[in-house]
Amino acid sequence: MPNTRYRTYVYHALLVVLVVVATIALQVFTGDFPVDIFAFPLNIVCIVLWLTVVAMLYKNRQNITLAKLLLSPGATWLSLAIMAAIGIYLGLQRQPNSSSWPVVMGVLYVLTHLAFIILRGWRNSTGIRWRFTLLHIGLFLLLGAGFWGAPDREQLRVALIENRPTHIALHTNGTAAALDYSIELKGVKAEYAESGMPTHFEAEIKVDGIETQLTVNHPYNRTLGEKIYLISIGNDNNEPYCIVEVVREPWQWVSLAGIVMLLAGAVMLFIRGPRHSATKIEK
Amino acid sequence: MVVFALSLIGSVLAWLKRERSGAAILFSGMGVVLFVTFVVSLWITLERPPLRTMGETRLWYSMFLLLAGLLTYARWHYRWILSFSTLLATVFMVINILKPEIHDQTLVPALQSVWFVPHVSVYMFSYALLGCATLLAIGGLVARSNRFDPAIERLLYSGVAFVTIGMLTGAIWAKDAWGAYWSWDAKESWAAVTWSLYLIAIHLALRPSTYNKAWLHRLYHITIIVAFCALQMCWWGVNYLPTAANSVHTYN
Repeated sequence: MPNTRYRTYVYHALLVVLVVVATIALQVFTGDFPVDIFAFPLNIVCIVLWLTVVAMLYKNRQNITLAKLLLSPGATWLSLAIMAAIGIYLGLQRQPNSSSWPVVMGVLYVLTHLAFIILRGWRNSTGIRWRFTLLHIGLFLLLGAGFWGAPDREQLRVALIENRPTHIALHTNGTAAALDYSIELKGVKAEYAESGMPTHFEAEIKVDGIETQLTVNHPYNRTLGEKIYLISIGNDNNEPYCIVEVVREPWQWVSLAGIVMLLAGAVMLFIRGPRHSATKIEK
Repeated sequence: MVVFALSLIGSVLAWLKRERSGAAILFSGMGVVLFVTFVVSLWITLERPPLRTMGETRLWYSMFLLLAGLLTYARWHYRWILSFSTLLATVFMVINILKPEIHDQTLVPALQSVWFVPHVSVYMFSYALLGCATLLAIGGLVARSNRFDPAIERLLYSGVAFVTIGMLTGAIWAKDAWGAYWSWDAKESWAAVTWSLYLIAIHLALRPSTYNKAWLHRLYHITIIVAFCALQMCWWGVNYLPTAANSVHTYN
């Protein structure tokens, strides 16, 4: 038994070293991971293939070393260490780059491990393990939507001058794009405290013929997957203007489902508290 | 000052009695009630939740630290916990007393959200719970004892639950504010680091071998202490990093 465990750790360490060397080499020689290539529908195809491989490996987990590795406690420690390492790596960057090969491969590893332990642990002999399921599936959905949905996310800035409708927007990389509807600024309003600190920003806009009001923290929901945000307002030579941002994120509902599940799991974590180990010492 | 006088009396009474002291709980409890009354009156006076500035988060942290220390004492009656929580809370409050300018009535548009109060107050409460867990972990590490483990585990579970709720309410707010649940802003990145480290601690706590093997037991306590250091980085340390220049979370 100790020999088997030792061998598992050695295999795991070798696999990790191999993947780390490969991802660093890919980063050095090819640059960032080509996120945009994986936009819909390719991301859906990849998800289906990935989950199929996970299910097949899990089904044959007794005979396949890789499946054993991904179900081992070492994989959990490694996944959590990867999450912490990614946080430190991105937290020390001025312009966080979440599409580098090491980050992408790290998140894919965490997601794969999560898929394995969800398959193994979502129920036991007494039924569904609700706290485990909510926490792990919630994290799986939240991470998964951010990972697989990133290529489908669009962020477009639109500069609006009062009473001049436009449908021209700019991608974050500076390239122009045409919206399939027009936006028009009808007026702006700003209020300031005596100290000069702003207290209220507001823009009246017309989106595809519909008049609406934008304020900070209150975007306009144009469709289920698209929102329009107020970024800034101003006045240039008595000509009011504002900058708005159009965010298209079709995967936002998957993220929200993950957040809701994680929230429910966190509440259960508080209410039920610890079940094992140290509580026995107390008794 | 009255709050700290009451808390100090409670701490001394707790030290003096080997068993749980009702008088210590009474005095410390009066201190917490008075502190809560002060925060509520400040909220009414400012006409906004006092959660905007770093100093105001210190105020909530001190209040919750006293509360967490009191709850830990009432439940597990470690004689020293009230003294440590009072001392820590006092340090934070003295900084605030020396900087009265932190309380400005204005609430900038970005903070005018229904998520503002739950996000910050839940975070501050979790910081206080995890602060107490860290004090106990240091105690366990120094004394090489498992005496504090039941309390550490309960504080850890509650603290992580509230950190998770704070982080996720922040994500929902971020979606409303700038269009992304998560954007790897410096603060968010360090929140992820903190959360991951606390998850390592929780997964260690789940293993029975953690309480049987000395090195694993020490690793468990060290992980809690390191995670609390990451939490400090997330709370205020991030302001001193070069990355803070591009962060939407920096405040003073």
